[in-house]
Amino acid sequence: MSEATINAVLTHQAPEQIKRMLEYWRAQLPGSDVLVVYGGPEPDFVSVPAEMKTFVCGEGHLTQDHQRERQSYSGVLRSIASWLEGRDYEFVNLIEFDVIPLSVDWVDDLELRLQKEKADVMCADLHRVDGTFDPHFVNHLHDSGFSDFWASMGVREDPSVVLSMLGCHSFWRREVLEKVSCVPESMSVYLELYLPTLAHHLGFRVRGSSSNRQVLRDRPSFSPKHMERLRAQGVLAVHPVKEMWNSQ
Amino acid sequence: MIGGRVRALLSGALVFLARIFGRKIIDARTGECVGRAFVRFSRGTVRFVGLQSTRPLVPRFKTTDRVTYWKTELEFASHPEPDFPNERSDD
Repeated sequence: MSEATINAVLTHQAPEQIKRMLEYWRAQLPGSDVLVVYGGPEPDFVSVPAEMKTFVCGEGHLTQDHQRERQSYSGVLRSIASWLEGRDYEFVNLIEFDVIPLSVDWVDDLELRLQKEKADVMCADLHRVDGTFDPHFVNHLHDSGFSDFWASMGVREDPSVVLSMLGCHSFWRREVLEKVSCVPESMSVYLELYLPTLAHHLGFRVRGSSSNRQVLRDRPSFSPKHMERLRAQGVLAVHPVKEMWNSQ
Repeated sequence: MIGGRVRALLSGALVFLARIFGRKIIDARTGECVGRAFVRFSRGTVRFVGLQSTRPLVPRFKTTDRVTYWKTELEFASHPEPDFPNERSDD
């Protein structure tokens, strides 16, 4: 297991569930470093049973209808960037709690592919969506400042490019995450458009992380039985497994 | 809240029906079917009802190899996979 990567797991679950999640990581992926990025209620943060943990600043991630309320992970990135200060990780594997790694090889595979692709960040289910009927894109296009926002970055020749990802997983070069986290979010953009499009317009190379060795989809949720079948087939990670940490 | 549930049920039912009875939506770039939808023309717009596409597509008019005045065709195509270079001067 690579020591260059910190696995930043975003969760809002109860301490008991977080404990089960960390036990799984220790048992299935020994030697991997896990940072619990806690987005739950602030008073509960002290009881999060993790050696490495950080609390998510701001309220942009606290949404019910994530797409329509335009959930933001800017606070998540800021919290991770701040935690990284003084530590020497090179990569950040940012995942939501319901992404389940199935093999110790997953992170090594991601590192290898990032380097092979000469990419700065790899995102799950990455698509270019400008001009398309993508529901998030056509909704954001209704906002008058949306196109100008990306043009104001001024790095890319074509300011119209808009990228979309599945928010559950992204793999970052550390300095890219730090630079993206520094940009003030001057307009409200749903995180699945915001993160890859911002990284692109800052001049970074954004690539898709899709491969036949990881099964990351929006829905429906996999059952633990289905997950084990995928593990037996050599799949390295799976999303979503919503009930994974609810019981032993 | 109940209104929201009813809406979700109705839209779920529409998507389910569209998957069975809807028209195929084809990605003109790859030739693949990306989903099905009920297509309806209404007050100058085209509505796609029940479409849950596996990939977002751009509408565009088909190019023609000769000038034709009596018809024009609209098709849909996905963008190629994002593959832009790093353009940062400081990295």
